[in-house]
Amino acid sequence: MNTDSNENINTNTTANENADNEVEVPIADSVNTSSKANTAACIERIYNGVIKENPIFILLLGMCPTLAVTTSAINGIGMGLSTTLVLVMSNLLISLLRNIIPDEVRMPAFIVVVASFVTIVQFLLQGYIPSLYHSLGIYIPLIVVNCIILGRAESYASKNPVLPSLFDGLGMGLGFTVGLLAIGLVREILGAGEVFGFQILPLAENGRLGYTPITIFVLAPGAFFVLAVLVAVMNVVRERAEKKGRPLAPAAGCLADDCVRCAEKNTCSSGVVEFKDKKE
Amino acid sequence: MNKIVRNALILTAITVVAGLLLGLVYEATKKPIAAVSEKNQQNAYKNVFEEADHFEAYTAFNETTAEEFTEASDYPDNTIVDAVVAKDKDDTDLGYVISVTSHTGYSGDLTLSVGITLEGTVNGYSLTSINETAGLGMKAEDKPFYSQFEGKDVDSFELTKDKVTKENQIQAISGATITSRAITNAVNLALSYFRSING
Amino acid sequence: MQELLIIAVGSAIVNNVVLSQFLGLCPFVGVSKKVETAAGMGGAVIFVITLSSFVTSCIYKFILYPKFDYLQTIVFILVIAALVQLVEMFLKKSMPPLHKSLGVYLPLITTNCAVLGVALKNVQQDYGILHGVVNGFFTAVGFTIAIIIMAGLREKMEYNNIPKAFAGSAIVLVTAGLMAIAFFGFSGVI
Repeated sequence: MNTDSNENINTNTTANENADNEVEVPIADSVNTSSKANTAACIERIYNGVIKENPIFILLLGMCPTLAVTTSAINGIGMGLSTTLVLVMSNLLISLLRNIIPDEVRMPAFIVVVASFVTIVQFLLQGYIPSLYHSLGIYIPLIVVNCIILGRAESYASKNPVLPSLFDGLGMGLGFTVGLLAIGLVREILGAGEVFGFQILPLAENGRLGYTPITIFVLAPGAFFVLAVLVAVMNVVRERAEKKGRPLAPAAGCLADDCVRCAEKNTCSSGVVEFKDKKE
Repeated sequence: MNKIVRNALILTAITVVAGLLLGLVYEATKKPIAAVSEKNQQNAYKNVFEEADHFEAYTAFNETTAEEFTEASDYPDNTIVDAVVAKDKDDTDLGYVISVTSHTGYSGDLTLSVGITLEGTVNGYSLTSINETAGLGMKAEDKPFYSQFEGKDVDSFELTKDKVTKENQIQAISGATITSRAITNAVNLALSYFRSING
Repeated sequence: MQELLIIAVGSAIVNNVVLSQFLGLCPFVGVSKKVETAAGMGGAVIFVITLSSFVTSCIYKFILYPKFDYLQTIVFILVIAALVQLVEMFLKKSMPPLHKSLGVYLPLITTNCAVLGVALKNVQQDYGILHGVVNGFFTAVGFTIAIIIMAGLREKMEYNNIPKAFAGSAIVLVTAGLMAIAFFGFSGVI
């Protein structure tokens, strides 16, 4: 959510580079309409989202909600699944409309589509899962600016057929959910000694020996610390993978790069710039 | 030029369709959302008045006078949202449930319903809307804090950070004095409003 | 007046937008290498957020409320995106010096969640136009304070011997965590 446009951009470039070898497979398949190959492509998309290009662990994208709502595992899952729903729906619709939406106005069009789905998800949560609605609060509407969603729309859904796009959204969303769940679990265990609200580490009270929760981990500073350790671990993993000759997909978020530079790149917000400039 | 008009039209079309769709979903989910908040409210009433069979709107409740009352009270940073009468099966009055929104929470407003018997004993409070810091202010929803208000018949509650020595003292949640004070003041306002309507 | 003061202190320091709400984290990490650029970014954010709080508050009050408030997310994000572009064009034409110092940062702000976050918060808290603008301005001031402190720390940190795995953004996040703890000290202020 701390999307500076650059996150989108960087995703775009990464995914575009990959596009040559990955993306064309499903296109070829859809020509053959071989259902078996289609299934394979869809599974590949899910694998890609959850493991190979996991938005949190590998790409380091969408860190804003990652930190804000992961005070507990259940909030992490809630946020992850809400984002997944928005991702799947927006990928689906944008893929359907990919030949209708003119290139020059694609960014505002994507934003409209994504914002509509986010609002729909917000109503559904408010009506049917009110407790989650209250604990996620303002971060639900902020899903709109989550760079994963606009990033996938721009780099995948707007260039690929409906089915693979749908599964791409599903895979990325699930990968995001897994990441949020993991961070939420760590913070909940360290910060409260609980898992999904159940006390697993007996607390020290009334002179009894036990665990003293490190409350700081459910508070804001703890979020920064957990993420810092995650980034450090990924730095090590990345280095090892490179030594083995199997490099991971490059990190795409602002945590990986300097924001200033991406302003010069063809960022997604400068997509809007172009559009406005022409219109005026 | 033609292209620009075409682009603008397509974008407008997408926006209009999205807007209409949202309107539809809004209409469709309006009922469940209202039902949820109604149920939430009823649960809150029930929580603070277990003996009651049903709740009826307090007919003399009037937003303007309630606001004037709040302004003149010692707790002006609150709003009295609603007041209902708790009744048993035979329609006898048992007490009141007064809902107050406090504007002095740590991160935004919090709303709670306070149950008070006719004798002036506080049954407790139930939060219907709270958005405080997890692990600190959110502890206002936990028993150790809220049970301090229960079953007490006092003039007003007083927040303390030290050991509780008097009946009317409430021990603040450690690290969340702001939330604790907001809640104590809201309950106090409900109490004094109750006195004003119960003579 | 007192109310405005509480909003000001609250949104600038106590509930700091980056350190306690995680909004605008991306520029916070990405543009905080030098104090100079951090200050530039801060200036741009103050400018945009104040303006967008005013515009979105007005739109909400006069157009959306009460009938169309369900359209707020979609309207706000579009308005903010358009506003940033308009501001950029306006600055380019009529105030080239200002454009030169803020221009680079403006496109970065469009999808910055802090801008949308403030607009939504204003609605959520029932702030009127005046309160909304004050809230927006001081939230952005809070962002500027945080990013300048961070940049100052990073300038010093450049000469430190940081464990290899933590080099780069990881150590920035650790620093941010420590800053967040320090900012807890302000929570008794209001």
